[in-house]
Amino acid sequence: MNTSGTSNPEYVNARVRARRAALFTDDEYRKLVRMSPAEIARRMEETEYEAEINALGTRHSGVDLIEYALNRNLAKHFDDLLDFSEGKVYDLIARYLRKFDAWNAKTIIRGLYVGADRDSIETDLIRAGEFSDRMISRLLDAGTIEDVVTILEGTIFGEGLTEAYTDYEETDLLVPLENAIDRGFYGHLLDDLPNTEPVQLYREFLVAEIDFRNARNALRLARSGADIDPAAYYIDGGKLFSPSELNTLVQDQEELVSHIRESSYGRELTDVLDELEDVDSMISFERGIEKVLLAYSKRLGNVYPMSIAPVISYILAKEREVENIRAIARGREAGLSQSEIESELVIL
Amino acid sequence: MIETTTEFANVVLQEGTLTDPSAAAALGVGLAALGAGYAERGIGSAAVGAMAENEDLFVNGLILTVLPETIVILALVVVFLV
Amino acid sequence: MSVLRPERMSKVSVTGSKRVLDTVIETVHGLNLVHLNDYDESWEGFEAGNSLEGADETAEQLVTVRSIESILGLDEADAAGGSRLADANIADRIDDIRSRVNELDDERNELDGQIRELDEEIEAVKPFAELGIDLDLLSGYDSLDVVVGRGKAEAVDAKLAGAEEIDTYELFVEGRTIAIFAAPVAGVDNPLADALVGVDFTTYEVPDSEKSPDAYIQELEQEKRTLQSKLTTVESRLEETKIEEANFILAAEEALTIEAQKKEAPLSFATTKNAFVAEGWIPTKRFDELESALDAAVGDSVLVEELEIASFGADGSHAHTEHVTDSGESVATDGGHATEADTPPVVQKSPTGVRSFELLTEAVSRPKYKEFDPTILVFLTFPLMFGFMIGDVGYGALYLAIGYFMYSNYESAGIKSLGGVAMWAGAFTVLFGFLYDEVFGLHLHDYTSLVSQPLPEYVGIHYIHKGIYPGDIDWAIGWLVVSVLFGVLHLNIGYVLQFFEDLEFHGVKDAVLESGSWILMLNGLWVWIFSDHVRGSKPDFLFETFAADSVGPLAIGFSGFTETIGLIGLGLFGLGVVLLALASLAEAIEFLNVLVNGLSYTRIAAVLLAKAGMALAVNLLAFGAYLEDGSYYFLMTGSELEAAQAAGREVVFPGLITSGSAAGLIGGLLVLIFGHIIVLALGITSAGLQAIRLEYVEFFGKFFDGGGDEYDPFGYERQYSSE
Repeated sequence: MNTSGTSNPEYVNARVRARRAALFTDDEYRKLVRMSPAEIARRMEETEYEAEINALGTRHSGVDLIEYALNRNLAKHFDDLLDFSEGKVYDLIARYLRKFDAWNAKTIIRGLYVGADRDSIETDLIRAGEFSDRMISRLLDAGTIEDVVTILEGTIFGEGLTEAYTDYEETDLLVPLENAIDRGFYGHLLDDLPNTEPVQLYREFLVAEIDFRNARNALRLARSGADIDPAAYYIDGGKLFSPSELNTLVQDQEELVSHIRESSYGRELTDVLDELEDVDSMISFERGIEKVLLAYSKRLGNVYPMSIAPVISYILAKEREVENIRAIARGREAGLSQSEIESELVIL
Repeated sequence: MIETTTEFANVVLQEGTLTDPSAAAALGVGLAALGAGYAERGIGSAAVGAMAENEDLFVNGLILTVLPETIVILALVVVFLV
Repeated sequence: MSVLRPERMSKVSVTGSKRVLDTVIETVHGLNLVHLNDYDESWEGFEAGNSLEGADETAEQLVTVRSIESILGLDEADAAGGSRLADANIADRIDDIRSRVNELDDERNELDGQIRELDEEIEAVKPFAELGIDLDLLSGYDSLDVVVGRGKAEAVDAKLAGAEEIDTYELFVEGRTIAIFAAPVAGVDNPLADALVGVDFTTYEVPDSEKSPDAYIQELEQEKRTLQSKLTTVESRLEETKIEEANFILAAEEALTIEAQKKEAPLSFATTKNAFVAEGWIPTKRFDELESALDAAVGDSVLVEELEIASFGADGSHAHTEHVTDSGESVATDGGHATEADTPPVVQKSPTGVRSFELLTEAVSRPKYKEFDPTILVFLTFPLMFGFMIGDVGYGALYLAIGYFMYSNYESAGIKSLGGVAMWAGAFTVLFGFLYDEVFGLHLHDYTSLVSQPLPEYVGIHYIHKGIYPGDIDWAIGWLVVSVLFGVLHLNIGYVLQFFEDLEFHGVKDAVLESGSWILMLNGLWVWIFSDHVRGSKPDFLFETFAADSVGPLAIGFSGFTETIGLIGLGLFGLGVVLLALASLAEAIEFLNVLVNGLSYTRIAAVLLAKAGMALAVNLLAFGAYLEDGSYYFLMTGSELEAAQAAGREVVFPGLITSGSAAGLIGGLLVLIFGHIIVLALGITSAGLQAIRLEYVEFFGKFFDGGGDEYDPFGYERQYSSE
């Protein structure tokens, strides 16, 4: 790890910018949605994804090939980020990329819960976080959820997980475990951030991400009408809701929406909320807030070119690209129409 | 300590090291070069990063890296003027 | 100004019935001429097209073939070319190769993995081998806690001595590897782990074996050798497969690539149920080829139109067109543009010989279609500046040779172009070297009877000096002034081009305010600088360089403008600032650029002196020299040195070669050869870089944006397969 020593924002930003420029453009997406999975794979072979498609192309085909290549490429790029950044920049990137540690931990627990075999769990992992390969193979080898919790003890997820495991044993629901992991990630995201201006904006962005996640969870709860304690879903660090506000707001979707409208995010989220009220579709709402977040990070990256902001913006954009291509491939496979697929995409 | 410093300052200022235009100009060139070097540090770092991604950027990287050198040339012109 | 323009392009559209789609694609692909544009879905009733039937399988096979290539490490060099493929077998044969390659690749990966594991295990046992204690002695005790690890024996000893839970203990130490045997006090299990907390000590896991560590390592290594030989076998089988199938694979890839291109072409087309429209760019002079080829292939079933001949200036002259389809649908469009990238792709068309310099332009960016392509101007100035700065027949000849080598021995277009540029730079270096009368920093006529006078005097001109010798300081300063004046001229060209571009795209007013103003400022300021106005506070050399009584060929009888002209210059400068401020106040703040940019050209003289100085230093070290009348005279032999010393000349440095000893001779020759190689190499980085920087920053910055699209016609050049 290179957390000590001088950081190298110029170097990292130059590399990130080049990679950002290699992302697919709107025009390319427009063509992709008219291609079959095999054609998409072929097209990918001519771009950024060449190495991955070539490595996997003799063994897989169709949507599988695309998905594996996407995951591998994503992991490669994010590993690279950690590889070539140093000092403070490394620290800021690493703490954000731990979201893939969280993803991997959740995937493994979920896999064990439904009794999936090791291989099928492994293919869903994205090896882009801080966990070493050794750590991941230990997690995969773990036979029970309890073992996973034990292995994770030394990590940022350890603390909450041990508590949540008791809840899990009582209820046999994964929710407490998954939330504990999410909270472990978000909880440490804001740990002792330095107080320079760009980092302040980074913090604002992270807070926004937490808020949006809380809002999404709250809306889901409000709509499901299930009798679940909202506090179990609440993630600390946001400024949109306090836990007590959340408790009352999840009772009534309209009130929830108006609370969001009146918040500082009101202006950015107007369109998204309008659409939610008109169409009443949770899916398009979720896509909407992701788009807002993406645009926000991009703007931040343009305002503070020599900070962590462009890197975060790239991470988000790359993740979106991978998800977009996956959605296109799956949509084509399932025979969805062009416009149906397009509604699945998040493109700025 | 303080005495020597004062003495040094006297030598520098009164006995003419820095009141000699050539010496002052030379110092100017040195400072300008220092500034150029500092500027090139960041640019060079970014240029190497860009080249690592795309080798075709070698020429651009090289050009951009030497841009701050102009300041040294301007300082050199000053040497000819004094 | 047509040399400053790229190839003229026309926008064409091909409209036809879907019945002939395949034939049209086939024909257009064969021509390799049309740069296709993507349909932007803006016409009502027209959808973007879909791939042709079978694009799927083609794509899948292509991905497989390319993947096989990558696993086998196959590249162009491995194939002979010209294979003929029977379509029917391609898929089967690919499948067959794929399964063979997969199998071998799996085996290879597995062996690799096993070898890696063995390596790790061997590493893990090594410390135990150092210790020399049999492995079965290190575990399996009831009353004894055993730990092996790495750390400092003293620290461990001290820590354990103080541990309360340990009754007795013993250490076996070999280097930094330590085995600890400890008997705990009654009732405590495994006390060592706790006791060692806080000591810098890394614990090793004890391998599971009953042998002595050495024997165990030997066994593991034997196993590793077996695996390695298996790996070699697998690798050689992969290599065999590669050699056997190279021709087929490369030919198949090519055929499939072409197939995929053709089948996916309609993705760029606008289509209705029965008709399609394709648009693209084509060099204007080759439109007829397209028209007649399509006419021959499908006759009246398609309509080929030249929608527009792209103008270089601001006004695009679009021909209004209607797209008529055979089903009687008629769609009126806004002028025939429904595809993206409405700017034509750029094909630079420099004259032969200058083409290499397109590399230098493209290093910044490809010019846009509607802006000037400065390649020819780079050609006219870059070698000139380079030659002036290095100015040496010897170096120039070497640059020429290197350039020729790169030009003639490499395939890559980039290296070829670089070679071309190097040859031009070398030629100018020779030319200036001739004028300076220098060969590797020496005036030949001083040292060899083969040359009886300075080189330029053979053609009747007096040679010019670089200004490096102590007596030549006037020359050095003169070159500074000349550099700046060249700069002012160069900058003027840049501003004039900007003026024309502004005139074309923004009209007279903007051109005058935004470009004319800079021209006024540039020339006004420099006229004033070279005028008698406030003469007293300007350095004298400005006026002496070209004065009638100056040295050398620079004495053209100019000793400054009169005060009146100077004041007019100042006035023009002021007028320029005002005009610019009218256009953009923010830009007007940068008014001093005309001074700074001009001064920036002094780097030419600076590099000239620096390079000459380095060559001088090399020669001085090797030969030694004496100074007379402000010039250095190098000493070629020991006897010359003695003669010079006897004559009481001012010997600057006696030299290595002239020392008379063998060591001195060898040392001197080494200094001479390596010294000149270094000067040669630094010549490229300093003279080349500084000259190109002047082009890019000071010159291009005035008028050049770049960002043109590359001309990438729909088609393919076959290498490995025949139709």
